[in-house]
Amino acid sequence: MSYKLKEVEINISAGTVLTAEVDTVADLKQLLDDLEGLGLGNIALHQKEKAKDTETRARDVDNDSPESRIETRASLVPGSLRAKNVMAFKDGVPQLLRPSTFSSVADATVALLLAVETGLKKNSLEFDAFKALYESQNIKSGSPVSMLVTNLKNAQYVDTKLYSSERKLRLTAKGETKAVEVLKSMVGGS
Amino acid sequence: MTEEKRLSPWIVGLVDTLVGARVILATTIPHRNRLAVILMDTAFETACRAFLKHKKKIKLNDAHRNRDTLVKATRGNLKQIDDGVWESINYYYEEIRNDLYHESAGKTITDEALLDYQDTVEFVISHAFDVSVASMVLAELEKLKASESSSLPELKTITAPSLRGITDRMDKVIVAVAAVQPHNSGDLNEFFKREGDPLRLKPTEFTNLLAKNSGSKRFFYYSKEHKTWGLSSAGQFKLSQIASTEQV
Repeated sequence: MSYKLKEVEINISAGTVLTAEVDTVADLKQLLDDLEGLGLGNIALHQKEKAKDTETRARDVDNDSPESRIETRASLVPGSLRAKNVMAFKDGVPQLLRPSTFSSVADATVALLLAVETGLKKNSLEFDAFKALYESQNIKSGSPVSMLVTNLKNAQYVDTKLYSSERKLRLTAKGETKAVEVLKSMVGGS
Repeated sequence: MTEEKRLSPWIVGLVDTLVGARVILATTIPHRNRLAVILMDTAFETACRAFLKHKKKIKLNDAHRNRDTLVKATRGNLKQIDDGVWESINYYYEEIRNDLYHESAGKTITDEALLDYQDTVEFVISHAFDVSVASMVLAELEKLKASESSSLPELKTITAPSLRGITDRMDKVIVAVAAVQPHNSGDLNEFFKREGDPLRLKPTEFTNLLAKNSGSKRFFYYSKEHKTWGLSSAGQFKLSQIASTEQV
């Protein structure tokens, strides 16, 4: 025999641990049978399942972080946006970690819009709020945000009607596809 | 603008002109867009003169009275600004502003086009003087709203929401900073008191909280000139998110 049994600890309920001395596997089996006979047999298993459940829930919560929502939407490896220094969220504000590495200002902008829409679950964003977000990224640009938006409208990356009627920004399907492509290339090319 | 600020007088004048344009825009005057575009263009042209004279120390002469010469000289000294921006301003001047000013009182400009023009003008002025003129204009508008709210039309700014329903401490501070641009914890506490919120910050907490979260990528900035705290761009964005959550 390559092992020697001494004692076993069984969680009977939260905070209650039964410690028993056992010498053989037969003793252990007997103990478990006895506990089962008392209606306590599945406790340990339940505890284990509960722990597993908590772990899964914690993972699910993590899966519901802004970063992971974007990663799921763009089919990226979980954690890759941050690992590749592409994007992160701090206190609910998206941040492009290396804005100068985007191949164009338009690319950085659609990525930001995707971050807001998918990451923060916002359907659209007021121009002034977007401008504030854009300016907080330290993106070097020789044109104002409004001209940038005009370029995005012309490329059909943002909803023209919504912008004209309410001055709000929302990615079109084409814009969202573009943003996904941008993020994939940023993650892949880092 | 109030006099205790030690901003360069030419910037004060520019900000006031742009504030005036926004106030006009918020009215129901039928030709408000026409009037606003004329004011914005005035701000742009004044900014060009001030930039060349005070920042670049260029002695202006009669030739600079000509708009084309003035803009050309400014453009030559602001090479970081894309050509498209100057072309856009030129387009607004020749095709819209002049028509509105001289030729047709009935002609107007769409809201969207005007706001784009406003953004373009503020962009050039910000680059010329290395300031965020839009933030300065918004700060002045907030002050106007606070001091003369009854006599002013509803101004379009990222409006600070009420504290009711906000539970997060940082969110409350962001709202308070947007509303009062505090010098110290006393100003913030006064705001919380007025709003019926139990939050109070000790001076050290105030400093730690705001200083720790200041910087371009954080929520607050300290204006050495005004000795007040305000919201950075990231803070403005965060405020908009707090406001939109409150609306939901």
